[in-house]
Amino acid sequence: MKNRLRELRQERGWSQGALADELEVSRQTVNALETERFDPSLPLAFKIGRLFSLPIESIFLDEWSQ
Amino acid sequence: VLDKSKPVMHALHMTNKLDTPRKVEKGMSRSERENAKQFAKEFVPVVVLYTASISITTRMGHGTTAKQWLAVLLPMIPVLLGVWIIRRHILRLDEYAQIQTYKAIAVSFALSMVACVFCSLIAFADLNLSPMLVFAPFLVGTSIWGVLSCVFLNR
Repeated sequence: MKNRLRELRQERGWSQGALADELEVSRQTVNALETERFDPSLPLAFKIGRLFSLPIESIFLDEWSQ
Repeated sequence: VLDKSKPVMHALHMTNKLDTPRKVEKGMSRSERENAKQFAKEFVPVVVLYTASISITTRMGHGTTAKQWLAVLLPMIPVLLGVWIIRRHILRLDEYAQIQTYKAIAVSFALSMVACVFCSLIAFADLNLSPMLVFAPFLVGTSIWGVLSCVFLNR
């Protein structure tokens, strides 16, 4: 699934490691999310949304609605 | 800790050092470090227990059937404890790491089974190779699991 995670992280000047710490996941997980090799579970997607103060659908892009 | 007081940086202030395409950043995150520390705290005593049980049963000797069974069953207690601790460790991993670990376990399980069949065929053929050959499936399984876990997580 396409997402804007890398773009949002870079806008805020955060490193992958710092984002991983905030989400309580490994840096590899952040990397896998950013490179779209892994789609997060709903709890993790909500956590990401809360961290960026954005709704899930503005971070993870639904290809069916495009 | 993230600086959330300034939620969005201006594009001019962005640095390509933060643009980490793959494997640029090294090191473990806080949750990984905590998991690794907890795993070591739980697993090291089990290794000590295993070593102690082997040394006790070896010193006791295998004179009687009861002693032989003791030599078999006593080391199995730390072995089972170790399995339980590894299970706890996997459950503490984040969802991506868990999936990669399960994939590695699946492949290593399949190859362990192949090694089991191979060892059985050697026994059926009366080839009488080393008695340590019974450990081959274990060695195949654990080493492939370890290597694949690293490969899957870091690719």
